[in-house]
Parts: sequence; structure tokens; C-alpha cells
Amino acid sequence: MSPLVGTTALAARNLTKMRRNSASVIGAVVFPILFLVLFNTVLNRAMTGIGIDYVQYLPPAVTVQAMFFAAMSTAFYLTDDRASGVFARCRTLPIGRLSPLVARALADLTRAAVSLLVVLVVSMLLGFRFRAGVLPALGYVVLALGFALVLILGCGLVGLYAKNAETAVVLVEVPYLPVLMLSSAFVPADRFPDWLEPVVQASPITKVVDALRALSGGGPTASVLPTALVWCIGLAVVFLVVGARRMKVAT
Amino acid sequence: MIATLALAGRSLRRFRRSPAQIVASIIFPGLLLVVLLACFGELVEEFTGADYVSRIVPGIVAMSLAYGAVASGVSMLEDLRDGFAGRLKVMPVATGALLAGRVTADAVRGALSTTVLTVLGFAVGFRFETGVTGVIAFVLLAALATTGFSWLALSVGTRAPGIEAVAAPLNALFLVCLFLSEGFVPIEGYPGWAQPIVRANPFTCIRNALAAIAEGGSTRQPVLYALAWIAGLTLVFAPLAITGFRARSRTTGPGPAPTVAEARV
Repeated sequence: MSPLVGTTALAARNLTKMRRNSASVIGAVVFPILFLVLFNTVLNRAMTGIGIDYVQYLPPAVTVQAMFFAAMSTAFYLTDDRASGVFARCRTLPIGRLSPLVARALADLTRAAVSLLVVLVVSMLLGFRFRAGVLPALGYVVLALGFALVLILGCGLVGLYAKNAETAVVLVEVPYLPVLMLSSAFVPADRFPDWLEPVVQASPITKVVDALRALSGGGPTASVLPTALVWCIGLAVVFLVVGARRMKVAT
Repeated sequence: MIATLALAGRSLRRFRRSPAQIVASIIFPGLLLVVLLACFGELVEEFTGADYVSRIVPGIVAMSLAYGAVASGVSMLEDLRDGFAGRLKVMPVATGALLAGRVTADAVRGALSTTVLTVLGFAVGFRFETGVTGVIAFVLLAALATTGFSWLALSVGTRAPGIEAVAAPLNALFLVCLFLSEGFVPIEGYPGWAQPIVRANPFTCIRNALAAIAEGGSTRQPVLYALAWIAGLTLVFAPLAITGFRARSRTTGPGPAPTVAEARV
């Protein structure tokens, strides 16, 4: 059997499982909408006070947040499939050894794409616009999904190490909060305490969110896009190398 | 009574041994406290001119009580599904002991997580103007408030078809409550349409009562509002939890034991 058939069959199975779990559906669709509306309600006035149009500022942040949710799903389901013996069973079948992992990434990337669509549609309803034109808008989508893939690889790594799904969720949920919040995602970097500002400036999340802002709002992309791409590629390579080692040990 | 305490002890031991529950009710709120302080502190202080620590610590305490209760609803469903509730029926134990034990354990857990968060708050600049009496009243009110959220979570847990049906809607509801409360931003930060919601929100009422207890000054009105919410939640959801529990423990026997994680992604 061609490796493609096995992978797509497993990816379809993963998507069906997610669709039937209301927690996954709520995480992919409802939570991004809630965060858009709630952050906008809570912080709009304070941000207008410092001269920021929050309706335009917020969607890249929630985009990145939604990509995090998609990647958390990787950690959870991957560990679950490992712990419950689905992966062991796959090894007795005539499919590629990497097929279950690729299928997992494909399914969660699909989930990320659905979330991205939801975020963009609701943002537009709130007043968000792609001011830079069609090509940068496409760049926004590609960068968002590319970053989702990087996060999926990182969370997949957690899925290869964690003992059970419960531990896996804790292992990704706890770092997620400071990593996302201590960036320019929701509040500009210069509003953080002085001692923290260098950390916020250096954060890869800041780089990606700033690049998404430039691609949507029409700012200069040359200064922010390359750094964001270097971070994405660098992280992806690290995750892949560590993951490949783990696979060697595991089998 | 003895059975209730024994079952409460069992719940607390399970809490102590469950990393996921400790993370949800203590570590995650603690992390949120520090991160929000760093992230929104300067912005909101600039907007209101008031100190952000004294706003956010009671707000995060109120949030942690509600989120901690979600785990209780999930555990109740597990007890019903794996046959533990059924086993209790053949013992000389009152029907309500499992529920009462759970609520008692939640109150203790609420006091515990409040203490940890208050110590953490102290480290980042939160202060009691009211001394030891203030601290005791603060923790007691928090423990009492936990019971209100606990009955709500139990009434969902005794009726829900699966774990995700307990955790997902409650987490979403509490998320909305958290954002639309004065624990984040003072009332004048909200748009006009949201202000009545923010004022009536149980998180706001409990936060404001806790803040008033810590700061001193007039505590009567905020504490009354908070007590009204706690009494209201208990009066509505305790009967629902009891009837749900009765109906469920009659019909369900042993089934597959679900995992808590099912509910989290």
C-alpha cells in the first residue's frame, strides 16, 4: 500500500475523532471567538487610551492563540494513541512507520486552518481589515499555518515523551500561558515592566505576531518577517531532530 | 456525618494525588496572577491610576475557586460511572453523604488554594490593611464561595453524559465570567452595554467582597452581594445536584473509567 493511502486514512480517522469530541470542537471554534470578543471588550478602552486601535491589533494575537490550541490537541491525542496501543497496532499494519505521526500533524493542521478561518471571519465582523492587499493577506495565512505546524511539532514531541494524556495536557498547558502572554500579542512590549521588556522583545511569539500585524495592517514587513521565519525554521529543525532521536529509541 | 467526613477526606486525598487538579486549582491561577500582573499592570494602572495588584489578587482567587470546582463535577461523574456511588448504596451511608463530602472537600480545597494564592500575592505586593482578622475573613469567605460553585459543578456532573460535557461548558462559562468581571479591569474600562453584566457577575461580587475585606472600609454591601450569590447558587443547584444524583445512582452501574484528560483539549 502506498504510504499516502495509510496516512490519509489515519488523518481522516483523527479528524472524525476530533469532530465527535465536543471539547475539541469547542476548543477549535468557540474559544477563539470568545477570546476575540472578550479581550476586545475588556481592553479596548484602555488600549484606545494609549492610541492603539485594538480591533486591528488583537486578531493576530488570537490567531496565534488558536494555533496553540490546535497544537495542544496534538499533545493530547498523540499521547492517547500511544498509551492506548493504537500506535503499536499500526506497526503490525502495512503502513509507513511515520504515517501515524504525519497523520496526526495533518489532522491538527486541518483543525488549525478551520480555527484560522473562524478567527478571520469574526475579526472582520468586528472591524478588522487586511489593509496591505491580497499577497500580504495570503502571507498572513501561510505564516499562521506555518507557525501552527512548528507548534504541532513541538507538542508532538511532548506527545512522544508523556506517560499519559493527562500529563501531556498539563505539560503543554502550563508553559503555554506565560509563553503567549509574555509577548507583544495582547499588549505592546513597551507596556511591560522594564526588567521584563527584553524578554518580551526577544520572544519568538512577539516576532511572529509582529510579522502577522505587518502583513495585515500594512506596516513594513522587511524588518519583521525574516526574523519570524528564521525562528519558525529554527524551532522546527530542533523539534524534528529531537523527535527523530526519540523515535529511534522508542522502536 | 462521619461518612461525609470520610468521603471528604477521600476527595482531598484524590486531589492531593492528582497533578491535573493541583495544576487547575493552584498552579494555573498562580501563574495567571503573575503573568497578568506583568502583562496588563502598567496598561491598566495608566488607565485607572489605581494599583493593579489589589485588583487582580482577589479576582484570581475568585476565578480559582470556580475552576477548582469543575474538577469536582468531573470526579462526581467518574464516581457515578465507575460504580463507586452504587457501592455506597449497599452500605449504611446516607444518600447525600457523597455530595456533602464533595462540597466539604471543595471548601477545604478552596481555603487551601486561597491561602497559597494570597501568599503569592503578598510576594508580588498585595497587602491586607485589616490584619489577621482580615486574612481569616478573606479565607473563610473564599471557602464558602467555593461551595456555591461546587453545587453548580455537581449539578452538571450528575447529569452530563460524558466528561467533556461537564468540563467544556463550565470552563467556557467561567472564562466569560472571568473576563467580564472587575477582577481584570475596573468597571469604567468596559463599554456601556457590558457594564450591567460586569456588575451582576458572581466573580465581580465575590472579588469585590474579598477586596473590601482586604482593604478595610465599608464591607457590608459587597459582602452581602457575595453572600447573596453564594446562597442563590446553593439554593438553585444543590436541589438539582441531589435529584440528579438520585436518578443517576439508581440507573448507572459500573462502566468504563474515563480519564480527566478527555475533557481538557
